[in-house]
Amino acid sequence: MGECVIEVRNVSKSFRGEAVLKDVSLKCEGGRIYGIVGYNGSGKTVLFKCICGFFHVDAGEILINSKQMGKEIDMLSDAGIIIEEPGYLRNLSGYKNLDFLYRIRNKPNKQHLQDIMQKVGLDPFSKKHVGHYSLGMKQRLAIAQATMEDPGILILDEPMNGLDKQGIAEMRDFFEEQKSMGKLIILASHNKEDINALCDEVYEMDKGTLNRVR
Amino acid sequence: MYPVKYFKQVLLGKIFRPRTYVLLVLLGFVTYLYVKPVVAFSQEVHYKAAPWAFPFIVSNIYFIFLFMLGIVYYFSDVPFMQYYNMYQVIRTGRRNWAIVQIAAIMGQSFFIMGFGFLASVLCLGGHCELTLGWGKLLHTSALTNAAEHYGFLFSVPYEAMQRFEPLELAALTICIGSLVICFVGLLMFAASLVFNRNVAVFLAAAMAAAVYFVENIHPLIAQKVSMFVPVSWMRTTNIATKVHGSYVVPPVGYMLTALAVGILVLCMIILWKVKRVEFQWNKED
Repeated sequence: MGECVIEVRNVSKSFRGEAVLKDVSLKCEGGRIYGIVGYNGSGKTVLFKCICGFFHVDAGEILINSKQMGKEIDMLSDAGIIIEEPGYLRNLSGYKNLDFLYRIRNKPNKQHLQDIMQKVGLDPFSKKHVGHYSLGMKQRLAIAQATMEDPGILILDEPMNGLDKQGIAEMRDFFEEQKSMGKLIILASHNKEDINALCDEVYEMDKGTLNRVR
Repeated sequence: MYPVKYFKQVLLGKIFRPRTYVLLVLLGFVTYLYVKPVVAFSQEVHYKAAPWAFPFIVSNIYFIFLFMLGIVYYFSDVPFMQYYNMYQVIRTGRRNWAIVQIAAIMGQSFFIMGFGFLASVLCLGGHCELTLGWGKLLHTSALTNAAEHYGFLFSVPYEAMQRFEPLELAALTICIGSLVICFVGLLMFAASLVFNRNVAVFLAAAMAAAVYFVENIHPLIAQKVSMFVPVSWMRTTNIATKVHGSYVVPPVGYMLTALAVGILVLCMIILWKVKRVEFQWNKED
């Protein structure tokens, strides 16, 4: 087992008095895939946003490599994320969107971005604007965006949304490969097949509480 | 992180987008309406106009009000929580992301004022005379009733022409105008973080409407009141103009200092608040 990188300790979170997360605890280590299942509105996405640093917790704490989120660090920086809808600059091509994000922390690397786009099944030379992409193409681009900087952690909320059967099979192989590289992956999905095929540990989120089911 | 490159990309992204095009088309159209009588005057007397009408146009109360409403619309996407920002924040961290948004508001402000000036020159077309002086046309407009005769939508106060060189007044107008736009943009950003977007839009719209208040109060107290209404400072030709023996806008030094301090305070509020804010991403483009 790898080093523990994410630890969620007794986290609670409410919005306008309504509890969305209730005393949630979770420990995640590198080289494993963690699955979270649950109905819409059960709190999965809120948990992901708390882990990423977009939301502050009301009680409890989230530790990333022993550093407390919101105090010692303000964002989960070494992470690739897909949360809710993939959001892009609609009037740019997929490649240009990736290039824009990649350049924030890295020197430009055309070849690397072309390779990663091809790996997720997108044409890096296409001039098509993201605004004209299908949901499946946006999802593939989101996966490229999340993995292009080789982060240690992947937070993936419904990453298979909009993908066809072949796309799902390709992405499963892709996530297995990422896991074998020692990455920590937390995956939320409605699809039990994805969860069963990929995850080492499975949790169920129900009305804000998280319970291990496998 | 490569902050300069990131800032450049964010600024270009904010300039080349439909929201900017809408603002620039409206600004260009309104400027055209204001410049049209100058062109008519120029055609009639066969004299070309100097390219310095911009400060006089900006000093018109109706123009400034419409212009500022355009600015409120332009910045109404605060606090910039569209989904595409999510992938940026995770890479930059909260503080760096906010710094770049602040810098982009500043960049956009100078771009918009620069465009306004350029539009006023381009609308003159072939009737523009490239001169560093005020030119015969503006002089005549200031000293005779020609402006009224040709239906000018703005006044040309001679005091402003006496006090300032054309380039000096144009530069001052662009500088103060840019700082005021920047102040309004940052105020909207800060208010949207502290309260919400509706409050931000209301505050900025109220600031735009406050120029009418300053215009309509007694001239003896107009200057004191205008000290708290930055949008009225964009009317730079009033700097040299006395109404009933009193100036109606504060001195240049006060305006520049107050804008610098105001911008600094707003930046501090934004950087303080962005550390604590919860990012509620939305679909809006």
